[in-house]
Amino acid sequence: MTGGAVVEERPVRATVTRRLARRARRLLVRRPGVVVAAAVLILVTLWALAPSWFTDQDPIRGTASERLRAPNTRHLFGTDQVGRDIYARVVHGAALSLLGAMIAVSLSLVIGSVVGLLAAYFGRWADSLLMRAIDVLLATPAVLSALAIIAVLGPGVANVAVAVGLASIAGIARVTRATVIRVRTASYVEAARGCGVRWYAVLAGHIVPNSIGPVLALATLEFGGVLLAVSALSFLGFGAAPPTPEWGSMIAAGRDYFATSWWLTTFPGLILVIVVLAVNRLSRLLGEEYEA
Amino acid sequence: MALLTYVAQRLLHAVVVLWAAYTLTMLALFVLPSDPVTTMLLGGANSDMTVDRVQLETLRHELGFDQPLGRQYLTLLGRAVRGDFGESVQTGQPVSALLWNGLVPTAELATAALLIAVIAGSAVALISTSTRIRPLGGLLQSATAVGVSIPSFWLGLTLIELLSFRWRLLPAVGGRGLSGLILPAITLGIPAGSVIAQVFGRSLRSVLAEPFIVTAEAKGAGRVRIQLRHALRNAALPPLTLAGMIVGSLLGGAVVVETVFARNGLGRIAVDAVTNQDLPVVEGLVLLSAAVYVTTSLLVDLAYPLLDPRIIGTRGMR
Amino acid sequence: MPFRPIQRLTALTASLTLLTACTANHAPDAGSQQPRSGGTLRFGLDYAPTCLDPQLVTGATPNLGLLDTLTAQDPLSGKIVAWLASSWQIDGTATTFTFHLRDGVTFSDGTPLNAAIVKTNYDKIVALGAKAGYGSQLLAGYRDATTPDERTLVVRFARPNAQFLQATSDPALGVVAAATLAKTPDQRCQGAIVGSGPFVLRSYRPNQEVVVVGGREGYDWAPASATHHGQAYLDKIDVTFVPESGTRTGSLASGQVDVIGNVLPQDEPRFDGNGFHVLSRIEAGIVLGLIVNENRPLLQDQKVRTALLKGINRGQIVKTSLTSRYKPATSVLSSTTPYYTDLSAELAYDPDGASALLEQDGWKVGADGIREKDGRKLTIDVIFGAVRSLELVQQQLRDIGVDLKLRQLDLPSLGSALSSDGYDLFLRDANRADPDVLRTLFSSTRIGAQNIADPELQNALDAQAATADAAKRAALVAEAQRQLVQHGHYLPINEKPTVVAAAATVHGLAFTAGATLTFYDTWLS
Repeated sequence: MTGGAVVEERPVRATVTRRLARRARRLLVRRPGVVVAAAVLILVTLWALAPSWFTDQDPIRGTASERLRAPNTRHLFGTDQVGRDIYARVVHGAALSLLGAMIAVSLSLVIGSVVGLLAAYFGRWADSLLMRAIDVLLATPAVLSALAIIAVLGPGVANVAVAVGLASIAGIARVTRATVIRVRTASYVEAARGCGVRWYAVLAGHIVPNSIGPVLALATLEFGGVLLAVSALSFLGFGAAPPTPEWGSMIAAGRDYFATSWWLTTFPGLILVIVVLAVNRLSRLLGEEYEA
Repeated sequence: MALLTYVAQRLLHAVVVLWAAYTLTMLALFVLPSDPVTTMLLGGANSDMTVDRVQLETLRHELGFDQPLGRQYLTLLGRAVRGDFGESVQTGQPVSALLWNGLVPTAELATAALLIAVIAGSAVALISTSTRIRPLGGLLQSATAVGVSIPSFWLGLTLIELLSFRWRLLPAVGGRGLSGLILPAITLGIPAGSVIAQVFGRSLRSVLAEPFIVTAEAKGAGRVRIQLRHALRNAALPPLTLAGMIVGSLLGGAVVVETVFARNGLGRIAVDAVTNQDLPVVEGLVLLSAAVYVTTSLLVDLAYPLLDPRIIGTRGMR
Repeated sequence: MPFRPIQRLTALTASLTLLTACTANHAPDAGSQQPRSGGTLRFGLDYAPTCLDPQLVTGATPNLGLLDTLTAQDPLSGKIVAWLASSWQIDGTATTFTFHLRDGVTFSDGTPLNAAIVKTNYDKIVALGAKAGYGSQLLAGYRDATTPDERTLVVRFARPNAQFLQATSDPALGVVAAATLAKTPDQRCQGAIVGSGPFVLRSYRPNQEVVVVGGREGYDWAPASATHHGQAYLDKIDVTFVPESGTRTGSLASGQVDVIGNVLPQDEPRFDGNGFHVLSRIEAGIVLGLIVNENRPLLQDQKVRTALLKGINRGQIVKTSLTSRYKPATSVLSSTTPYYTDLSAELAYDPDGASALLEQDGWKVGADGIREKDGRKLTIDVIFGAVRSLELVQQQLRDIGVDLKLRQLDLPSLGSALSSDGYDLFLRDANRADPDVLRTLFSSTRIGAQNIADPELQNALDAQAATADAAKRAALVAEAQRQLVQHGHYLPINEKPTVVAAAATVHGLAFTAGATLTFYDTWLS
């Protein structure tokens, strides 16, 4: 990397950090919703990282005599058809559910932003070619392409996540492209180019840091959608193989008991809704941050 | 003339997109280790789950699945160009008839859902931005946030349980007539409507903060009048782009909703075709949806200049 | 007489339970009420058939009474009784079958039924081959059919085929009119079906619904096993396809349909009483269990197979995850299948015996509780479609140190796993009210079946196919069942019933011998 790029990069970062810190302080006071959302996500992340802190019950093996118990003091969310504690399964399921969404989002983020970046930066034929490819992806509904990819990869949370991730590249690619085009024409980029800075250095030093914001905001927003998409595909029977706990599969497996034992689907469903809400809330905040 | 070249360019582009979607799907399905004919002969739940090897080979030959992949591709593509999409491996029915039978109910469902989504979504956006009762605005905004966060199958099951099974207001199954359409349309419409309400509300709020609105307000125009005359027109652009995406998401949602509400439609056909790897049907579906997509995006692109004549110059540059 | 004495008793008890189940639910006015004609029955079917023509469908299709068959199988006795054929003879080697057809039968388009049209039906099924998969399987070895006179049909096979008599009661060999035979398979699947049955197809919307109407003038050729004669009581049956279980039960509970298929165990109590009733019948054929892939070296070891057999606690599975309508398996065949033999002693839960067998065989428990031998873990993989009760089996086998890997597959992956032999165990059942189903699964090169290299077993299976003599066949089939269980070629788990629920206003629902719901005797109050 050339010296010029480094020198230019610092002031940008410093202002961003300072601005963020000031805003963060203001937000906590003005918007309790954001605080709650953050708390929810921290809790769920802890569930995923250290489930044994939150429950000592076995999420895999059930007690046959305790089948289909309604929520009570011992089983906060009740038990399922094999006598497993639903709360324990929800807590243990966080890891796989979040991991699934994470795989999907990272995949679409990495591939999508690279495609968008290359298309926007090089323009001309690269742009046409890559954007036509994105059009092809957009032309097949995400569910259909996800289903087709699952058909190739086979069922399972990781595969479902990959399928959803690949199917949602298009949005990221388009936003990246639009942002990069905007940034590319900014005066400091023109200046860096004018000074003879090499193309990859311009990309890494100026364009990426300055366009990553909106793209990340969109990716967070997609995180919620991806959680929903993975659960919908689990509902259609492509999710985690039993007995692995995972929210989407839990909702799917419990739906046959909906009328008689509502807690089987309701609690995993509620947790899913709450997490998606929290993610969306934070991503909106990020979005506003970068719009401002 | 510029417009004509623009349209011609877009049409060519559309054909390329169709061909690429078709070819990619074909590639994806060729990679599959399993064989659609075996799947068909294994049958559903009540068969004895065994397949005669001789019959299998005979049928594979009859259906052309024993041909080299390249030839299969060319044969299918050649027929597709002439408008013949072959027969479903699963049912033996012509793909065009199968898709047409599914298209009608899905179109009904999607139209009804879109109607609900657009009307309810815009209404919520307008009310939440214009109301002077702050809790109401907040409530509506939270409602839309919940609306986009609910899994649609969960929403569907809950709506059926309450509205149909507990309170007996609407039929859950049967799908005949308007009454059978209401519940699935609501289920499909709520997430889409919430997205519309959020995006439309956001752009309304940002437009309302623009100087020309402030000017109008200063000139003494009423709040409702400002919303309708000034803000609405300027805030309508993003939702239009959104419409294209929403049509796609409705088709995706239809997959789940049609399963829950036991309705026939493209969504059910898609799940069946993909789970049984019914190649001709999957290809037909991809072509159909790609055609719908390129047509909608073409229409949306052509509609932009009507709302904002400045656009044609910039769009043409792409 | 096909049944041995003890056998007959079981069948009798079973039939009595069935009868009490019906009468108990109709109790309030059963005495005073006479069957009444008229009305529309709304039926929520649990799947969407891919094809309506019973001759052509490869999966399942509902039995809507469109076609009649040459014979019927009495669900209570398992005996074959007259229907379109009033009598028949079978030669000593079970290769030539002579049917004498009933007089005065017409198809719903007015054309008469005769021996020639039945022959054309069979010829066509054989010619269609894979496109009439199940029917052509039932007619395997078909040489020809001849019609000495208009009412006599002689069917000849190239090799002994004792199962053919029962096959003539299967809807897959139902008789359609010439008008239907002239149509393409696709048109027939989409509803171009003309039969001689009590119901006629009115409309069909794939994935959604099918409507049939009763009231056929002059229908007086019901089978001997039916409880009435003449026209069907129902005017109309609206069948809606409702794959989502919750939607189905809710629709019945809220009065949107009158009958639903496939009631899940947890929903049964909802409809026992409260203005509803539950009907069930154990499916005939091979019980739900694990077929062993004996091409795998590990499973060629009979000790391992037998240990697995002993390590499954069938009673616990039925008790904890199913209901009293299900039964622990007591043989390879279910208790409603003709020639079933009770082998419950061989199928008793014996974890200590299983562990001892594995110890003897050199499988020692490792640090993680899973047995090992020569550095190889005792891990066995099971493939299956959508059945969830295997988690208990997994837990039970874990107790004897076996690590069962569950692989739930969709149909295409299942197909490729089966055709490439890529599995250890496969969870399956096979529905057929004839013991010849044993030959389909254990003596054939079909994909998904096993051709077990055991001469004694193969002899028994071949010999039962070559005799029409009930007593001889019973002995041979009993021998085959014993071999299969004792040598652990099949690991039976439980008998599976067809469970349906109906509103109290629905009477006279009946099951075929194979446990499919039929509507000919059904009426509404």
